[in-house]
Amino acid sequence: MSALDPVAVAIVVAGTIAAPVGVGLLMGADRKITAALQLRVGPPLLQPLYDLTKLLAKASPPTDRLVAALLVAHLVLAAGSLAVVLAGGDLLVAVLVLGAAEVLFVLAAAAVESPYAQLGASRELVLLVAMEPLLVLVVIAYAVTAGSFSTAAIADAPTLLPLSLPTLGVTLAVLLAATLRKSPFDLASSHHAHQELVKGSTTEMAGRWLALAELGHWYEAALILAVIGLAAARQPILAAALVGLTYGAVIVVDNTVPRATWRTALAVAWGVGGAAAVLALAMARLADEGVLP
Amino acid sequence: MTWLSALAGRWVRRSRVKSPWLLHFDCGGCNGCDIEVLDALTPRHSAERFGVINVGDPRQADLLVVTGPANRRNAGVLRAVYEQMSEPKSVVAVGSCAAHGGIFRGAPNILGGVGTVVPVDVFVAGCPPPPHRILAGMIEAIGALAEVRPARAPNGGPGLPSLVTQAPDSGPGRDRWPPGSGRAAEAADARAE
Repeated sequence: MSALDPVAVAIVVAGTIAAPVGVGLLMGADRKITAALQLRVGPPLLQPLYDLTKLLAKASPPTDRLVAALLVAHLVLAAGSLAVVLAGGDLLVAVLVLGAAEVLFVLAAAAVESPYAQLGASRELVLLVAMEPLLVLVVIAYAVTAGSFSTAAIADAPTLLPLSLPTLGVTLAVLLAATLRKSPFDLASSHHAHQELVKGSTTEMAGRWLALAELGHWYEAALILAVIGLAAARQPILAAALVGLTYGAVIVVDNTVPRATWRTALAVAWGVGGAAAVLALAMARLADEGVLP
Repeated sequence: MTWLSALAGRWVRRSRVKSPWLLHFDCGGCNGCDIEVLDALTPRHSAERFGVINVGDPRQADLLVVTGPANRRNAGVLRAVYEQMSEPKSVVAVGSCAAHGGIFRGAPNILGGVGTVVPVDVFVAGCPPPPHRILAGMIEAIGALAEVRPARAPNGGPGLPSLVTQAPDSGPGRDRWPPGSGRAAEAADARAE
């Protein structure tokens, strides 16, 4: 590894710190669009940022020391996985660090006695099982096309991933829906009251501890959004369009498939997302052999 | 640096006012007010415009909306729910029962309005109050969320006559006052359209 360039380090740190603001704004736009689909006015665009600031500034009840440690570790690892991507590091490492962060969150939810939190934690595990293999498949597909697992190499790849691997977009949409806890992946903790378990895994978290959990989830979303953007990293406008298109599709599906169960979640993740990823991998292999253009 | 801390303080106060998460507690009235409270949260009245989210955990809530009279059985529960909420918090008492016991007033198990158990910031008049007036009460109580306030004692509540004689505002539809004027008012609305 070469010597650290202070400017590059500063860019990575600034990007990692600024990422939650971007994710918060996207989620605010999401709530506006969702409200419009339901013929409501909806909250202000800055609502997620208001919520986060309020939670951070609220007098916080003391929490279990183990839960507090796990939540901080979850946030640090999730932010770290994004930093790895921003630094141009190994994408596979970023994805595995993200998986570790999610396991820590599951442990934080399971470390309290509330049966709702316990149920939420076990459902978070189902989500983890549903999405982690997909994420690894996506990274492998990227690496096959770029010839390397390095994020820098993938970003510099001359071929446009959306053109060479079109079905990968479906897998990425499934992944984004799972990370944002959108239907059919809103089993463990939902934004709407149409699930029987609305705030399962975060039941026992309040004040700044809930803010830490939220912030960690925002970093998870930021990583998935970055992975989507990576598909066209050389064309920032196309990358932004891909992110917008995927997010839009996820919002529409969220509003049309309420009350899904974990069976639907697994079927959608492995059936639709997994099949699309395997198809993309096969096409990448065929392109490598010269069978496909 | 003072301007920076002033800016941060303003942002925090704004965030607190813009993000009132609501906890709905029913002390055991007739459930009329509870239906109207839930009505205020539906898309038609859309409390989410103001950042309201209905939460089930007192420790995540900022705004306690109480319906029904305080009674000997649930006073302790109401007090515990209030004390589990962390500052800044405010309380809205919805309906006649929550103000002074309403129709249950004087029964041996009734202590009176919820103001006998917890400090109330806003009383919403009506039996039951219509959703838009509950929303107005919530918005008034949201203002008190900007700052962390010192601990407050239960503050009683309005007396019986103060609420009974208070004329409801002129909302749409059925809540015209005095009784009987509703149909005439609707006819006037129809003419205006």
